[in-house]
Amino acid sequence: MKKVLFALVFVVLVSMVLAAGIPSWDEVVAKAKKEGKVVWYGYGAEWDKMFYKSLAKEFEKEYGIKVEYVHGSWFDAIQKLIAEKKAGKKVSSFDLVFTWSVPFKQAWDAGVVWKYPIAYVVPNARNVVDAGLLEYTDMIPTHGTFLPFVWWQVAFLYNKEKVKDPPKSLDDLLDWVKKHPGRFTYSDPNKGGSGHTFLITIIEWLYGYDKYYGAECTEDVVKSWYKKSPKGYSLWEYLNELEKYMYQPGTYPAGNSAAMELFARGIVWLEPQWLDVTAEWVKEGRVDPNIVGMYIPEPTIDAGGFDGLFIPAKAPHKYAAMVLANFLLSKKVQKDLVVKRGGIYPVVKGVWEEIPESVKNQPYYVPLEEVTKNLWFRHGECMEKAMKLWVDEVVRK
Amino acid sequence: MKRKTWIFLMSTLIIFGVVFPIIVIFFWAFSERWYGTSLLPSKWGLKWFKVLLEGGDLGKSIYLSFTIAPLVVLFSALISIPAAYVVGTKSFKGKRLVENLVLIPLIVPPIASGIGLLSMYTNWGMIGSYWGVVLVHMIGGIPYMFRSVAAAFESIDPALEEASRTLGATRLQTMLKVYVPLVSPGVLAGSIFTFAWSLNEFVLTLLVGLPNITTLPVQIFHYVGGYYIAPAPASALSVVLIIPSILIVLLMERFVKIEYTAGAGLK
Amino acid sequence: MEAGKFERLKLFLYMLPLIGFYSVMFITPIVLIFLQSLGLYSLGHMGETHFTLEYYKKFFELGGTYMHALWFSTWNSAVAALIIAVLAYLMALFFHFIEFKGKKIVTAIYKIPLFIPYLISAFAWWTLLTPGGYIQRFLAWLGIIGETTQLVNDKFGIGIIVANVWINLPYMVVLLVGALKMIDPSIIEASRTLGAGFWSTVKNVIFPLTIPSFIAGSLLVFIGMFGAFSVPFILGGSWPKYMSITIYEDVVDRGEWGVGSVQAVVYMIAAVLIAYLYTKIMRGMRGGGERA
Repeated sequence: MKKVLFALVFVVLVSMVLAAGIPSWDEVVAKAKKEGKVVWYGYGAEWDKMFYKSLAKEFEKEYGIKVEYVHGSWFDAIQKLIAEKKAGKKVSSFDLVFTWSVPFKQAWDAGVVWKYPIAYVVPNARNVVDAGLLEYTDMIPTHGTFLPFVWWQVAFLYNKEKVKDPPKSLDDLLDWVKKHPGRFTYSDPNKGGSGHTFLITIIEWLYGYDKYYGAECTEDVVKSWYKKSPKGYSLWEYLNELEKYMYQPGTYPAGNSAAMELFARGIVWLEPQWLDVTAEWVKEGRVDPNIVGMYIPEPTIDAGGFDGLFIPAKAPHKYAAMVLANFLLSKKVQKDLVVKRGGIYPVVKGVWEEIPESVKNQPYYVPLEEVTKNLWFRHGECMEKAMKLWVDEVVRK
Repeated sequence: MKRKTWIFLMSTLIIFGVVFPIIVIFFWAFSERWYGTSLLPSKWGLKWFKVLLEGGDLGKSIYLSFTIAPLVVLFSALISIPAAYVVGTKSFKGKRLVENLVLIPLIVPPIASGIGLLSMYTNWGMIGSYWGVVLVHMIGGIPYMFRSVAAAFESIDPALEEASRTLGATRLQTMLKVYVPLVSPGVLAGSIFTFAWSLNEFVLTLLVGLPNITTLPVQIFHYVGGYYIAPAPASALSVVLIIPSILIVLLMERFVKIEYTAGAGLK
Repeated sequence: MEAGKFERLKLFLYMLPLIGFYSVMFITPIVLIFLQSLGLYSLGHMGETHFTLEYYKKFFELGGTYMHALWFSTWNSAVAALIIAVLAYLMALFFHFIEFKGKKIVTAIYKIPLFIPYLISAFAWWTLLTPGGYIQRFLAWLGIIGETTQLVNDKFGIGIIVANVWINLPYMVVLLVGALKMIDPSIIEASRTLGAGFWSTVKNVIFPLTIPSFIAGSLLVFIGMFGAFSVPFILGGSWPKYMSITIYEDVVDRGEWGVGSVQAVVYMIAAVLIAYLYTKIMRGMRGGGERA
């Protein structure tokens, strides 16, 4: 029912836009230049901030539109937009907000997202690697109001010096962990994305990806995590069994970096980890690149998050925001993300092929084909519910 | 001889216990390459300071931290001194109550009152405002100022004021000649504590200052906040804060009489 | 000198800025939090408001997240406070009774942690205690702990205790040195001339005289750690958590203002209780309202 409703809303939206006439892109750019300014809100690590700021400068040079980049937390951005709406402000403080699926949903539910299918107006959006990304992010419906911008990816990180036989598939993981007690860990899912991406991957692997693809995360789905899966374990049984042989059972690294730290010190030999976090550590000289090996086990590890951009309903510079979004999805910027920022895959087609071998061969990159062979998406809603339950069902037991 | 060894051991232990964690921060700050498996950095340098300077974070954070703190001191003094004068020199009903109530803002955990302030600031549209942060720093700053200044007023012999008045001094002259010299050590002590408090305040700044007001502690939080722990840049920023902190300790030792230090560290 | 009506008004005017400031910046948020905890106000600017005890029920649910958080923050801070009390007493005796060359330097250095931001101190201890950190390595080398033992982000909050001790110890020492200074030296002299040794003098004469400062100081140190955010945020584990952390997560990550407010109310009650005890003890010490 809910889905039908969404579909209806979407159809209405699109027809409204069509009726009003989608402006030609040249028109959009012209109007953007007239607006002359755009406020872009981003979040992430400090090295992300530096990178986004450099992108803002490039954009200014190319279009002559001033970019004010504001770096904060995603919570803050949504909180501020909602507060401004409550206060009855005519214009919001931001024109383009970079965020991820769960806060996007909060923003959507609070009615602060501009309900205009920008995904079908911005030209570069046509090139995104998977058309589904224009309608969903982490399987949360976006109705074309959200553009993917950065493709983060989790893979298995293993110590090449110590481990010659990392588990090829998730089916072999438990056996491997039993044979190497104390050498596997994953980040606390509530404190690091590598942890919750691992968690949702395990769910989809245990119970079947098709059960989750495009489905809602109902009570029944949550209840199924307490029942045996086709693999013979329930979700919680599996995780608790895994925990017995993990590094320091009952304690989980408090975040991606803490997990990475254990790896870098040669204590943990195998863990799910972000490519970009690994890249940053290699670049910062905090982990010996000779021990870094990364791969995607069978069947896969969920792709993303595909963190992206939306325009707030009351944004004062909407055209400039669209032009900036288009710029961020350009091949050039996406290539920079891969080459300069590192540990990221491009969200548009035709970029990965152009990346020099010297970059692709870095220890923190996995060939893109390994990821796309079985392209699974995270289920944002289930992921959020599982994260909360994980505390009670795994750590506390 | 035995006594000497014992004293030496105790002193060394204290100094080592304090200095060692700080030294490790310096190691991180000046390391350019430090693999997790090795004991010491394999490459030393100023890379992180350069990165922070070029990224614009360091300059902005230093500017914010070191302009907000003096303002907090100034306004805390303006609010505290009249009240401290009354409490320190007059006797009236409810005086003790006032003294004790001023303690409470220091004792209530900032995270507790912070969520209320977060909501109020959101309503007022003051999230991320410079002056908003000055105001929240004053919540914890005023008690330090008030206590130090009230103690100074209290230590003045009331006979002095009377003597000055009977000798024909005007009110203003009495103020300037009697109170100012006697109270200024208290104000100085209070200012040092309030300044240190503001420089180090973190929870409330994080809640109401984001995203614009990234004082040094907030900036450090960005580098150690769970999702991303980047010890090297966090340490480089810490060094920038540790040095003035040590200067403050030395200042305090040099200029502040011990009776005022009792108000310290209530944080 | 009893103040007249006009005089009282004048006194009040002097205090007005102070009262006004705290009314707006401190009392108002507390009142709003209290109302929110009962569902009578919405801090998150959403939803309707109506009276409910739902949030309190959630908080007091036995075996639930919040009772655990309350218990963990209480015992963990209490252990740290106890360690601080013992170490600080020894240090205070050392600084008060023993004169030596270079004492000035040592007394300046030991106060440094007081002025280092909590966040930095917590982070410094994180780098030392995390597996492979200097202290963790050293302890493993001594064979006290295993090579991979976690001393941070662990179930017992070991890292939290260590960092809290380091941060708060100097405060307690300052306080106790002050208390020792207030003891009339002739009393100690008398005890010594009566043939008592140093430690028995400490036990029978000095310690009883410093008990009030000792308790008052410990209370303040305790509440500081009990409600602190930075230290458990950096050094705490996935489970159990400090209540300051669960408040932050509830409010910031999940927008659950109701139960967040209940926890804030609990913190405030604890704070007021401790402030009350503290002032009572201090007043007793001053001997009927005479200020030292």
